Amino acid sequence: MIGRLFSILKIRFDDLPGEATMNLNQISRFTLFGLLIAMPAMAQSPEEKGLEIAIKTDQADNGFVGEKADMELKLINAHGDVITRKMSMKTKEGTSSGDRTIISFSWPADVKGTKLLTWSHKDRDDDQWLYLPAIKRVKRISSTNKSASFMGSEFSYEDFSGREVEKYTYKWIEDTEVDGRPVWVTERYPRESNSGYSRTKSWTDQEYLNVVKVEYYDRRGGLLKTAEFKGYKKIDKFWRMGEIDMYNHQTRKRSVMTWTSRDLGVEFYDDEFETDALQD
Amino acid sequence: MRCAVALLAAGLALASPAPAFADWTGRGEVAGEARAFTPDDNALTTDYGLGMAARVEVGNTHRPFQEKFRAFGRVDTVDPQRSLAFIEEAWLQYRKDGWRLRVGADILNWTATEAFHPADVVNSRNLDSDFESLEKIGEPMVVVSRDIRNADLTAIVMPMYIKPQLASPKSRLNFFQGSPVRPSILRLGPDGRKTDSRWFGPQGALLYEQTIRSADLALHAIYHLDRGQPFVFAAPGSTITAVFQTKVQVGGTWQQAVGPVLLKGEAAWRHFFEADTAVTGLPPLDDRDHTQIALGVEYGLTLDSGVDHRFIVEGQAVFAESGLQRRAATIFQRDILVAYRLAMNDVKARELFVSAIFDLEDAGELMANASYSQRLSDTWGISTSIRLIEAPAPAPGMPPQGLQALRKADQIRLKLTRYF
Repeated sequence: MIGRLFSILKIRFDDLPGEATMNLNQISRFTLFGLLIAMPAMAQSPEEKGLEIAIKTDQADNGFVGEKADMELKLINAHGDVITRKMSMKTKEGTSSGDRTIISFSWPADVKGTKLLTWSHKDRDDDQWLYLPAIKRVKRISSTNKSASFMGSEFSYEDFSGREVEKYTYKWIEDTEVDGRPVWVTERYPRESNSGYSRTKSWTDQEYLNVVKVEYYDRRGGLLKTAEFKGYKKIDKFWRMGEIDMYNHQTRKRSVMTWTSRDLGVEFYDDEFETDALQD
Repeated sequence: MRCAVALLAAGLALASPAPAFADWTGRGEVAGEARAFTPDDNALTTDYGLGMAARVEVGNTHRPFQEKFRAFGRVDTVDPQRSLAFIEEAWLQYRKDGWRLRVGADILNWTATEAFHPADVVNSRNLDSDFESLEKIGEPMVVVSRDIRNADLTAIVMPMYIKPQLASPKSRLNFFQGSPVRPSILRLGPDGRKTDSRWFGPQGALLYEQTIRSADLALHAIYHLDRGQPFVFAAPGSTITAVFQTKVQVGGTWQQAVGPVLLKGEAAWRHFFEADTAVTGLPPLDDRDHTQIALGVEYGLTLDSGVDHRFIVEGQAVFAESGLQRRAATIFQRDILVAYRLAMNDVKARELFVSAIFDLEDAGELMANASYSQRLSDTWGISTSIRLIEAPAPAPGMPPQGLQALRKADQIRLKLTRYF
């Protein structure tokens, strides 16, 4: 939902013909893709069109290989006081399995050196490990507690976790414009019961194939947060946002995530995403 | 003492903004620490402590090479014998094509549980620190590791051993209370004879780690000089001697995520090489062979507000032929930990942790702990804790066993930390 921010799984239909073996799951995806291609010729339900948009935006990110980025997160309270957090992120694109991501926290000073490793999966909960430098320990953590605040901000871990197409259902609402640019408006509903949201409503730019605005609704159905995605730039063939401005309607606090540097196509070593490498 | 002061000075110097070298990383902390115990009316011990501690860490990565240095030191103004400094890490690493070679001092963390750590035995400890998580001292080693798709096979050779840091004779956390000086350390080699050499034959270990879906499994075998709980020997008219024996250990750890629940386990079987009493002059030592198993479960619940509640229950049992053997193995023999952690997940990172360890074998033994920590600013943090220890008095004429040695050593601590 928030673009390729951290660990994000992809359906890689273009990988399928090249696979030495094709399991039932892959066959069903291939069939699904064929059906979706044929869909425009038929009358689509809002749900089918929503799924088609989700897959289209998902595929647009295929082939980035690896991404390295530095980010700043500004936490702004209702009085306008600002606190800054800093981190860096490395993502290695998965082939048959999901992506692997390491987030390294660098500010505030007490979390410096703390790392979060995520192995995303298409068909089950992600694997996550946290490295705590003070005690030099790598601890497996449950990835189901997704609604916890990310570094005390208005973002939650769920906002940064995988957006696997299979883990949601979709519904197209309308085609409209935002700032003169054509967008699709869709809703997404989590299949998992551990989501912190009952649904999200997205405005997806038809050229960027990335969201420009998302509304998040809490478990009781009330509007919780609104995120605006700004500063899109094209890097190679990929559109990437430069900033996410998240506003919490219930706490009246804002958090702004800004990318200070970003490289795509980075070739990482596989062993950089193993648990023992967290201690390096 | 001089080393500790030097380390503190280095920490303070590094507290200024670090230069931005591309491949260099650095972090550290300087902390003011205060602790106070319930008075024991014993002139040989100090009931409070006041000191400073520092840790510095620098690393450099330039694939395929990497280097890291990390050291810790503490200066206590009340009890200078509690001052110390040691290297935690000082190694050079070469990593390429799934192979890893690391040479130098390092800390190995083979644990899955929070309070009981049967598998985590490699490094020497500072025995004047938290029982559940004793400070570890770096051990020189050569590590060769091969990565095999979500699995690692590691061989470790430790050519020398590092002494454990026994508590100051004045410390209320000293298990050898009553001795005005630190116990002498006696090391027994595999032949059961005393050895003075720090080049203690080759100690070594094999470790196999595998991630299987949502589970992490590790199995190990180790041959080394055990530096866990020593055998204590007090000859009439002489100082106390802490006897450390060579042992073989086979064990493992297991962690598995099942939804919001984390399942954890550790186990170790230990065989100690017997002392040669004819040569060492020691009395016959009790057979200390035993098996130690710890299991735990952790449940996390995150509310819409982002507040995280975590409930932890762990149990540990030591299996040996007699109660005496079990007590010789570890402070905790058959115990249950019940703990709760509240993390506010806010900008101040406020966190409350309360725990209690109940001894199921020795009725009346209990250790309870409550701690609170929070960030004061982006660079300052504060933490405070209180610990209560309940244990029955030793039988008349008998030396204290396990927690009995720390009976009534309740303490309160305060720590103010500057991170950099």
